[in-house]
Amino acid sequence: MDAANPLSANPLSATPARISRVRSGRRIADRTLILASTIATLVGIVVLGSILFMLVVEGIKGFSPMLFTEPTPGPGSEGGGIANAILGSLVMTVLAILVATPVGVMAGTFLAEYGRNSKLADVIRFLNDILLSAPSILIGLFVYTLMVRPMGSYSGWAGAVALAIIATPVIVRTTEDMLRLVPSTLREAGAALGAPPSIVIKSITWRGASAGIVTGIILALARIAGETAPLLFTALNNNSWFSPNLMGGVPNLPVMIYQFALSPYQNWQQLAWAGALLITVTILALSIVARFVIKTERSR
Amino acid sequence: MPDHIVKSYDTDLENLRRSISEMGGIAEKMMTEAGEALVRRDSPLAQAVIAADTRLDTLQREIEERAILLIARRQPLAIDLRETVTAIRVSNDIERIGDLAKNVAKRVVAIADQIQPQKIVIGVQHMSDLVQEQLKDVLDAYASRDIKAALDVWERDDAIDALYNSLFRELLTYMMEDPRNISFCTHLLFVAKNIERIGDHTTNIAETIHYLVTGENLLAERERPKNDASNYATVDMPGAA
Amino acid sequence: MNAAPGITSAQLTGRHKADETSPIRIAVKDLNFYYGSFHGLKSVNLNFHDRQVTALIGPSGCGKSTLLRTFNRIYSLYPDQRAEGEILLDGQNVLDSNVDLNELRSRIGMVFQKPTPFPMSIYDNVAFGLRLYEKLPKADLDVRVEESLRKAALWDEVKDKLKQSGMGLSGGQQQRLCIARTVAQRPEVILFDEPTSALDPISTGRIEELIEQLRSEFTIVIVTHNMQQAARISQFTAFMYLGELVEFGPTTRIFMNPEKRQTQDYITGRFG
Repeated sequence: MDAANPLSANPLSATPARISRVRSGRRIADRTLILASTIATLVGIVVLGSILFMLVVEGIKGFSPMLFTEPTPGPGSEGGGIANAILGSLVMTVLAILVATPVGVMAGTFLAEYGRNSKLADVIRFLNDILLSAPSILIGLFVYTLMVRPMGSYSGWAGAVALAIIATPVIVRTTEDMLRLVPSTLREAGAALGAPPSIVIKSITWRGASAGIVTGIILALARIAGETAPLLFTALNNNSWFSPNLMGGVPNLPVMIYQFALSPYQNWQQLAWAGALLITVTILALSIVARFVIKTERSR
Repeated sequence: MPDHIVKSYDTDLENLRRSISEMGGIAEKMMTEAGEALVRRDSPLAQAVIAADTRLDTLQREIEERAILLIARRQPLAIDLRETVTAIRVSNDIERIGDLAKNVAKRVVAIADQIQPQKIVIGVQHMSDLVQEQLKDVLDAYASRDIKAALDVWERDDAIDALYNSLFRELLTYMMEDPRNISFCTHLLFVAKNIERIGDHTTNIAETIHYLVTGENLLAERERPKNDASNYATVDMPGAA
Repeated sequence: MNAAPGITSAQLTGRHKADETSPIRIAVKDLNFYYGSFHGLKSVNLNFHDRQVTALIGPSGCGKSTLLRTFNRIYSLYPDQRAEGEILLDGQNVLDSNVDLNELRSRIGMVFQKPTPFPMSIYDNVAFGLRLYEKLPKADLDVRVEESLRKAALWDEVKDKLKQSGMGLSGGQQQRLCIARTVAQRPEVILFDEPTSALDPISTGRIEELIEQLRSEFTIVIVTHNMQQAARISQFTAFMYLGELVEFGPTTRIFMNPEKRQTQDYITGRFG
């Protein structure tokens, strides 16, 4: 009898000779499992922590005002920043989200509100799940064939489309899930007042799921902010400022990091570290915002 | 009738029924013994009857408490509600019957040492026998939920009232015949009145049984048989006419 | 015990007395209902009197909620549910395919088991139904919102926070908000689907008092699992079992002296 056995708290069982109800074998198995999972967790935290630690230590060295004002330096030249890549990433990500959000939210709404359990909805849901887990390089190749080759040039447009294709299924999925969480009695209550489905969706279910849908969009944003592979085939990169019509290579953080990190130049490698830190911090910030949105919604 | 889903509910109702049948048994015994004591002028037997009433009072209070508790805790409906209300009413009637039997016994103690012709008592004794039968029948009807038997008791009350009427005149006559009878007969008049009222309580119980079984109030359906004209009874002084 | 002369036992029963002479507001005739292939309601025939509270009682799955949900055809939100027969609302069969559902639903209000405030302000919740079909100027809308909140006995509690979210109210207040929202449309009939089963006794009491008051204006049908509640607030009671109507009658009779054995067994807690 020890403190771990809740039965010992029972004053009636105060007889010292009493045998514990928990078999010792079971207790050993229990403790082993706790130990094993603790170790596994620690390993994970240590690995993750050291990555972050290295990233912060190496990345912080590259931080300077120049990072945000100067474009990427040419091969062999000193100094420079990553301002062009930051701006390029920003433009393409925003463009992608602007395309993916209406498509994703509407499709998610169809699945949750209209399609529900129909055959069509099942097929769409299945295809969406495939798209959700498709390797992103495949999407890069797809957009390359679809846009880059016919147009004869890499472009920021192609990059934005590729990112949009990656973001859309995420938004579809979260929108549908969040709408399904809205209790059906709320829809019934709307319908019982004589509201047609379009009004029920617009004023009741969307509102009810708004925090969740916004969270989904933010998570999709975080997801595409760090994508490299689809951009390799579409936006490629560029070591200077990009043209306002987004034609030709458009610099962006992920591909910049990829190229600079593999370069022999010390200052390029340093810029790659700084870019990586910047992306990580951005994604972290987005995730925190997403959590915050959910939390305020729940506490309402 | 199937059992309640909550078993203790059945137990509660069963206990009420059992207590009432115990009360009924005691009241019947009191009534019988009071009648015997009267016939034999048996003072000790009358004392025993008086003593037995305490138990009836206790039982009645218990039943009332338990019934109120049952209403509070279980909110009985339909047959259960009627059953519970019936328990309260019937126990009240039986308790009153006990009181009246006790009163009879008290009168018996008061007249125990008087020697009077037995014929004077015979009328009261007859009435007592009739009411005993009424009481027995109505308690049986309650136990078996027999609405026919209950209605039968209810209708027979007429006869008892008629008997009381004639008894009233008879006793007045005895008193006028011989003033020495006055004290004895006055006591007997009260005894007879008590017995008549016991009869009334048996009709009350019969009405309650009708309500228990049908949910309808018997009085709403028919006029109660009432044949007690003793309020207006007078006897002419012999020779005055 | 005799009542004082001139007072009948019916008067003594007071507000619980069923008025069987009241006109019939809803007449259900030979109604059958199917969930896919499951026969949920079997030839139900039943009349609902004007300005009376009718309670539908019975064990879970007996069809009482199903019956309620046919009146405003809310079941038609779900594709595999269908009803056959007649439900005459003022003589018109609501099951006719040419009935305008949205108009029907503005005439028959419904309050649900769990409070269903919409994710918007208290004011907007009440105004929701009004904005759907009536284009009222702001001032008139304000009047109607206040009137409805007063009728739902909620005005004094929320008059200073009409712009706050309806989700921030307590459960009982939310349910009264839903009642206000329904009342605002000035329906003829209000359906209550176990409106207090998620509320504490005090909130339940408030809702029951409210239903009693609403009865002077509306025909009310309430589904409840709480038999005492049905006994307290209704004038008529219908007992349903396995999709069939077993017994219908004045509430006092159903609860004191039901005719059918099944009804008695159910209300006294003897059901197997």
